[in-house]
Amino acid sequence: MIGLHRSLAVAAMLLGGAAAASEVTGSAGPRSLASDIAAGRDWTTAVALAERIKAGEPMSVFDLRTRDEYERFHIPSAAHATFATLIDAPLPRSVPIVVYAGDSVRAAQAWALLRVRGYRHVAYVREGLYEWIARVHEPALALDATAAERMAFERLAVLSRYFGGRPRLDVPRAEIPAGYWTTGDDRVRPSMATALLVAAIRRRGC
Amino acid sequence: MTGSDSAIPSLAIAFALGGVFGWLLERAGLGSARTLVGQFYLANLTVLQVLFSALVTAMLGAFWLDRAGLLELGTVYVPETFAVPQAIGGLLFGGGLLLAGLCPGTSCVAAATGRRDGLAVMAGLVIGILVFNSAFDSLERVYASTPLGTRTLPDLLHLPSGVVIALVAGAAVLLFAAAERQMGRRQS
Repeated sequence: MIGLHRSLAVAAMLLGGAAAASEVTGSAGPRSLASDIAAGRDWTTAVALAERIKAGEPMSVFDLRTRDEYERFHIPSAAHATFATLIDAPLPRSVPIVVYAGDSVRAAQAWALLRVRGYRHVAYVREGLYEWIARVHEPALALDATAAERMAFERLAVLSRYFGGRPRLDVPRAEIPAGYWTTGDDRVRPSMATALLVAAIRRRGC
Repeated sequence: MTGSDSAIPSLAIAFALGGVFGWLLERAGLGSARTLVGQFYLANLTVLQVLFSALVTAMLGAFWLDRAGLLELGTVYVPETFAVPQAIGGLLFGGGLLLAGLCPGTSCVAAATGRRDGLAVMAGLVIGILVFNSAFDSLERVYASTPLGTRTLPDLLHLPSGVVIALVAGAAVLLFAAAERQMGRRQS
C-alpha cells in the first residue's frame, strides 16, 4: 500500500511539475495556435457572446477600437482596451476573454497576442462589432421570410430586446446579407462600415 | 434539444456521480463520525487524505483534460466569492461538523448504512434548509453582502494556473507524508 501511495505521490508531482513547465515555457507556441485555429476555437459569434453575457457567465470582454468609438457604442459589459493594455495588464486568468474590434483582423491579432501571453480561453468576435449590431442589436427579418427564418428571428429578437436593441421587421430581402440565417462557415460579410451603423444607432437615440 | 430534454440526462449523470461519491466516501470510512471527529484531534487524518487526494486528482485531471482539448475549462462555472456570508457559513459548517461528527455528504452515507446519527444529521440538514428559506428575506442583505466576484488562486497570486497547480500538488504530497507520519506515531 505504501508503494502505491508513493507512486501516486510521484505521479501527482510529475503532472503538477509538467503543468507548471507547460505554462512557464509558454505552451502557446505556433503548434498550439495552429491547432486552435484549425479547430475553430479562436473565434466566437456575436450571438453566442450575447447568450453568454445574458446567462451571467463571468468573462472579460474587450473592445479594441479607439476610445472615441468605444464611447459611442460598445457591447454591454465590454471594457475598452488597447494592444498595450493586452500586452502589459494582468488580466484575470479564471474567466474566458473575448475581444472584438471594428473588423476581424485586429481582433485576431489580439487573440494571438493573448494566447502567446499564456491566456488559454480567448476568442474574438469573428465579424467584430458589425456582427453584434447586425445580429444582436438589430436582427432583421425579411418581408418574405421563411418559417425557419421567423423562428430564428424570434430567438434573436428576445436577445436583442434584452440588450436594448431594436429588432427590424419587414426588411427588403436585398438588404439582408447572404448567409444571414446560417451559421458555420457561411459568414456574414459586412456590407456597410460598422461606423455607419453606429452613427445610425446614435441618431435614433437607442 | 429543449431545457427539459437536457435536464433528464443531466439528472441521471448527477445521480450516478452522487452514488459513486457516496460509495467512495463509505469505502474511505467517512461514514463514521469517529473518523471525521478524529481529524480535529489529529488522531485520524483520513478526511484530510481523502479530500485532498480528491482535490489534487480533480485539479490535475481538469487541467490536463483541458490541455488535451477534452474539457473547456474556461466554461466551467467558478462560484463567486461573498466574503462575510461565506465566512459565517464556514464557521457554522465547521461547528456543525464538530458537534455532529458528520457533514452533509457523509451524513447521507451514514444514514444509508443504517447509522442513526446519520439520520439525525440529515433531519437537522432538512430543518436547517427550511429555516434558512423561511428566514431568507431577512437574511438576504447578509447573504448578498461583500461580493468579491470570481476569485481563484492564479488571479490572487498573479501566477499562471500551471504554477499554482504545481504548488498545490507539492503541498498536498507534503501534507500526505506528514499525515502518514502522524498516524504512524499514533498507532505505535
